[in-house]
Amino acid sequence: MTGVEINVNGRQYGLEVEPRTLLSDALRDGCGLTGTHVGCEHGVCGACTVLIEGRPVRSCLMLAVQADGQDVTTVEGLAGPDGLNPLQEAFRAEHGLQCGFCTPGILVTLTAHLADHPDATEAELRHAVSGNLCRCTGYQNVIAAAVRAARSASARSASAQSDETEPTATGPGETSTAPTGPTATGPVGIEPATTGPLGTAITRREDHRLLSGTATFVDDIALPGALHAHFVRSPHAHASIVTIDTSTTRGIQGVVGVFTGADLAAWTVPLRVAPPIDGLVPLETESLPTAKVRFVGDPVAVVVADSRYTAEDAAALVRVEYEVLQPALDLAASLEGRAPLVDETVDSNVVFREHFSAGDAATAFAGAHRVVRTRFSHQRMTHAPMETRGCAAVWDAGRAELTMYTGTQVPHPYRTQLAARLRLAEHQVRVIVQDVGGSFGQKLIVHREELAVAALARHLDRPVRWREDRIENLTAALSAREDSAEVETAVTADGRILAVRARLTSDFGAYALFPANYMLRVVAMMLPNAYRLADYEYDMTVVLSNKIPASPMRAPMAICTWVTEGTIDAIARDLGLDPVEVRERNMLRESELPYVTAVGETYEDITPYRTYRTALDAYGYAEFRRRQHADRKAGIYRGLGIACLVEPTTYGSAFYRSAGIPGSGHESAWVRIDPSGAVVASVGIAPAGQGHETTIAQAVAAGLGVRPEDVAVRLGDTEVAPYGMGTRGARSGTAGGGAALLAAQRLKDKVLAIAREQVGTSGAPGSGAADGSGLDVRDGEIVRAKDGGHVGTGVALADIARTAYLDPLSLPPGMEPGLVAHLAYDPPPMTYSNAAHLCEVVVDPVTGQVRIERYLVAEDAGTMINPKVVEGQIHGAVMLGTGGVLYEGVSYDAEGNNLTPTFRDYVLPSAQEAPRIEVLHCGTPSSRTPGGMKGMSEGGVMGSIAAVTAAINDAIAPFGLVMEDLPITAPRLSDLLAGRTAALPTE
Amino acid sequence: MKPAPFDYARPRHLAELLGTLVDGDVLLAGGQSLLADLNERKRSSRRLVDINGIGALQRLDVGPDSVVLGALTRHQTLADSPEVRAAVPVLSCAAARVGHAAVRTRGTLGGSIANADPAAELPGIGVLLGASAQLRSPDSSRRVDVEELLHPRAIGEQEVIVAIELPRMTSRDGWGFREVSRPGAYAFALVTVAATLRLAVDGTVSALRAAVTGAAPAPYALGDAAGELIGREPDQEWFGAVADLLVGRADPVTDLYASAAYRRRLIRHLTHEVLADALQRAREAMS
Ligand SMILES: Cc1cc2nc3c(=O)[nH]c(=O)nc-3n(C[C@H](O)[C@H](O)[C@H](O)COP(=O)(O)OP(=O)(O)OC[C@H]3O[C@@H](n4cnc5c(N)ncnc54)[C@H](O)[C@@H]3O)c2cc1C
Ligand code: FES
Ligand code: FES
Repeated sequence: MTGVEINVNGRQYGLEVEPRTLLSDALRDGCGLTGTHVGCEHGVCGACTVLIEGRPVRSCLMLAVQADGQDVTTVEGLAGPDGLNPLQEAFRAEHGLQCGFCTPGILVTLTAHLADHPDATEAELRHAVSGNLCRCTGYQNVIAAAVRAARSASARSASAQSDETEPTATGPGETSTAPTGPTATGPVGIEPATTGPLGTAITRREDHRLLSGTATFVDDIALPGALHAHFVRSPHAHASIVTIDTSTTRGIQGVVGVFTGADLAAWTVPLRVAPPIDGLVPLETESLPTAKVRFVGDPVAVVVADSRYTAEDAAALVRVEYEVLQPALDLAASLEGRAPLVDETVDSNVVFREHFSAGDAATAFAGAHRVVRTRFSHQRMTHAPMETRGCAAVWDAGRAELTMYTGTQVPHPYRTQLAARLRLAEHQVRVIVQDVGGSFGQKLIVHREELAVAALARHLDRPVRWREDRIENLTAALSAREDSAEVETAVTADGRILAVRARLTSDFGAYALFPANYMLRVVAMMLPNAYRLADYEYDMTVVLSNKIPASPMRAPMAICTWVTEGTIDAIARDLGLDPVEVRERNMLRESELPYVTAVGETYEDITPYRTYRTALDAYGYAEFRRRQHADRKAGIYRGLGIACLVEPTTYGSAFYRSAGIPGSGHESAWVRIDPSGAVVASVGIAPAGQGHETTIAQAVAAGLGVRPEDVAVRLGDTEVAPYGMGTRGARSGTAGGGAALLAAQRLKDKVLAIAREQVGTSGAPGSGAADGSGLDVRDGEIVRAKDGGHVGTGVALADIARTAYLDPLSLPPGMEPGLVAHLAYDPPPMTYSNAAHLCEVVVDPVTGQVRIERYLVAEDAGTMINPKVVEGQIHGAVMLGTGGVLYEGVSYDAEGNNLTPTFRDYVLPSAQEAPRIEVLHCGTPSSRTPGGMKGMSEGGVMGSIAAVTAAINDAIAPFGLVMEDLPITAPRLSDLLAGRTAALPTE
Repeated sequence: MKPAPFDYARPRHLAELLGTLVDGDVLLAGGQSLLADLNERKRSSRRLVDINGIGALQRLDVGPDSVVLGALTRHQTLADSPEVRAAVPVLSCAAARVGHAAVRTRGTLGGSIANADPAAELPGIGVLLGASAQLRSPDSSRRVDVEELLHPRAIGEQEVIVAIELPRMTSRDGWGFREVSRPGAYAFALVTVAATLRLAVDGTVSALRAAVTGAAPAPYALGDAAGELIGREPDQEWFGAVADLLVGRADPVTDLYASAAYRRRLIRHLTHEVLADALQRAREAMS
């Protein structure tokens, strides 16, 4: 141990550190400044960036001893104790953050850049933040915020230089509200149905703590005396475990113990996934493997020690003897029964099969003008949230209760699972979710590591914590989307679709942590998209392999849009028609709604044709084709991709029933008014960056008649929040927001009932006010309808609350004291939103690089609770889909070694790659949900996979090539184009 | 992941450094490669000897014919320093392309050369300009071409790169530097091409240097092969001849990021762009 003196944010810290202690850890653990985040520890993500003597530095690539005697500035030191600085304010105003995990590093990086370059242009700022990864925002609003800050910075420096400047509208406490950035956003067509707190782009309440570095992510939770867990992982894709020798770690100071699958088997119950679904093979997963490992990264033992450093030292000493087996990596071999068995308890790697048929495809094919054949194959991806998985478990032996801090999207179902697997009563477990640095589907289940940590906390009677490192996250967390489709489409001569036959396959990875049909089922369900299709057949096959287990990832159905839209483009190509025309011929019109699809889903309140036309008109389609033609003659390969999509959202209980999956789609909320009139609400959902605290406050405000800023929202703690199904499948807005709105309305009924006693009911009946008595609540005051408007009564919500709690005898006869409403809401089985994406690219045939020149989305997500949040979701979703098309991929070699274990190899797009996205809104309210809300947040992924790929295929059409496999990396595209010559455009 | 334990020393002077070095020590310069390797436990070391406190490694001397840069010169200094920009603009341009601001704050010229990544920008510039390195060890001192250092085990166990010496470019030298890098936040170069050229009054080429990184186990230069290209008109055909020579010397690999064929095509593509840049600058310098 060495003593170091570091001046951080103007305060001197004397720390005792090891030579190897990273500066990032010293700042977080030694100084307690947890605003500096750790996202990779290999220098790539930028989350840990701090200033040293004013210069940006990766604190994970510097030793604490090297900072001895230096001045360090962290995000906590950017602004004074109260409030935010102009840069932080710009991020808040532009919604430049979602989960906020990346934000401190971005703020610090931009602080340094703007200090040197106050006049930085948008392109320079984009470049400056391109060493900071963000998985949520798609960078669009990050750049908008940076531009806004640069404008105000240069305005400030200009006014500082000149004596006689006029006061500027910008600067601290700025009032300028002019939109910056490229987004041409504005409502098209109908305005949102509801005004007031719904549909208002208020800034998010989460942002202050995220921007100032005072948020609480899992690793930020202070737990004195907590032990650290670290997992020993398999270096082999497939191997029998012969022995595990832990004696080598004995005597290492600080090591508490090493535990294996045998220990976990004694303490916990294995995971059995066996819903009664036809064609699904029931499967079981041990808490930790005892007999064999099934992928590189599979955990085989866990070391517990007093520090993470020591735990890793000991883990390196654990000797596991393996007998290496042949891995199953090739899907075709598994289908033909030639591959080694991944799971010996079943007799094949094929764990799900289904054949479905609607209508009479055979007849349609027999009479078709032509059969168009297409193929689509998406590579394996991984979620890569900027905050990796992690948890901290505290066992209270006296009360026999476990508190689990983690970042799950579904606190209550997580608690149910965790308690059952630990053989505890549900009330013995409390799950607390605080700030979460992104999830995208990776934080939906009780992970094996988390179960082990919880069991160890109980066994050792000491708090135990675990934070996954990036290599573990990329090799062993969860993966997704290794799906492919082979499609035959029967068409008429004029491009009308008569019937579709699809063969869908998916590589599920090493374990069934979800039902094996969970994701592919939605692909098949949504494949008909927005088109008329009665005769539809599909075959679905899911196989196990020796790869990271699969899971849903933001838009589990995502490839469906690419499949359908790619098929439409193929029809146009084969028949020599314009793809726009083929869509015209097949697309459902609003007059045909409600429409029951071939798989039995009911579309209503959707506007696919409208968003399609809106997008095309706004884009200038005909003009584009002229430009494309002229450019081709000059050797510039420009292409336009069109993708229309229908996005399933909400997932009510009836959907699960019909899918044969046990479970519920309901959501619960309570809203309470305290005796002082303070309003607090809670819902069962748990945010991972989506801004639910803000949107739930808006929904409650709308239902109750108060200002959103007066509603406190408590999410993520199972002791506080009512039992709900959590955040997934784009359901939080409709199910969560819906439950909150309805609970608030119910509470308002009670408020008005009390108010009638207090102020009388002299309002005009039927005046449109809430209860027909003429009374309503507005901005926390009881108002009375008058002359088509409202007048105050002088009675505040606080007065009603006081009566309700402290003067119960003045309440209407029989009424219970207090003001609280609790409500569970089961939303419709599905609400659908829809969108059209247009993407324009230019392909450089030599380097293979694809530049996105323009990206436009026309979307209809019904009533928007908060348009800024909706747009942010679209930006992030489009970037996620685009990353899959162009850059990302989990790669394995022939032995099953993972080739993409770091952010050097698993390439997340940076701000340099991010398209600018224009969003047009067409808000058609859902007739089935409170306030007309629909879900959204996954459609952007669906649309972008299809649109970006289609744009590339359009651009390279002169080379006679169609890309059917992703990702279309620059080297790969260049290799395919090399040696081909482009056909010159005909006149 | 966290590094395995090590001891740490931070000598204040070159003499102290040379006096303390023993076999198995690992020098810590900017740490932008080394610490990532240590964090991932791909490397470990009994002791890190931090050279950041040694003033003698931080010199920046611009002489009439040459530039001497201490091994600890940061990438950001190479990119920003007006003296370096004036004396070896191609080096500044390349340094600005290394990583991101935070990496450039700490990463060093000596570390980059010692690290010898086949695609790294700065060793390529060393090879382009025929730079030499001054090395010291507890019992020896030598000067070698940077090109010779870029091979495995070229630097001895207890050897320290003290400084790099580069010939100063003149105002008549046109130059170009371009790269195609991987996408994303890491954005390491796949292939870089750099060139300098000078024109005679009749517009023919009187001097030419060119170097490639990322297409062979180590960066390589045109070297003597440039001879046959001198005295010729720098037209498209000439560009092609330069590219042919550079591609001919390539020995690229196929890996996760790109095929060997792609890397070869990049050399050709970048060579044309870089020569066009260099030619334009040379012409501007003449007029
Ligand atoms: C996110 C990221 C992006 C990057 N992008 C690029 C890029 O685009 N291009 C690029 O070229 N590099 C890139 N790098 C690497 C960076 O340039 C490193 O700084 C450089 O490779 C090593 O320099 P260093 O001073 O950091 O050396 P260190 O990491 O400290 O040391 C590297 C090795 O050199 C040895 N060494 C260091 N100094 C000396 C010396 N004076 N004498 C003898 N041996 C010495 C060390 O012992 C060690 O073995 C990137 C790094 C990161 C983290
Ligand atoms: S760059 Fe330091 S944690 Fe990612
Ligand atoms: S907001 Fe950037 S990672 Fe979530």
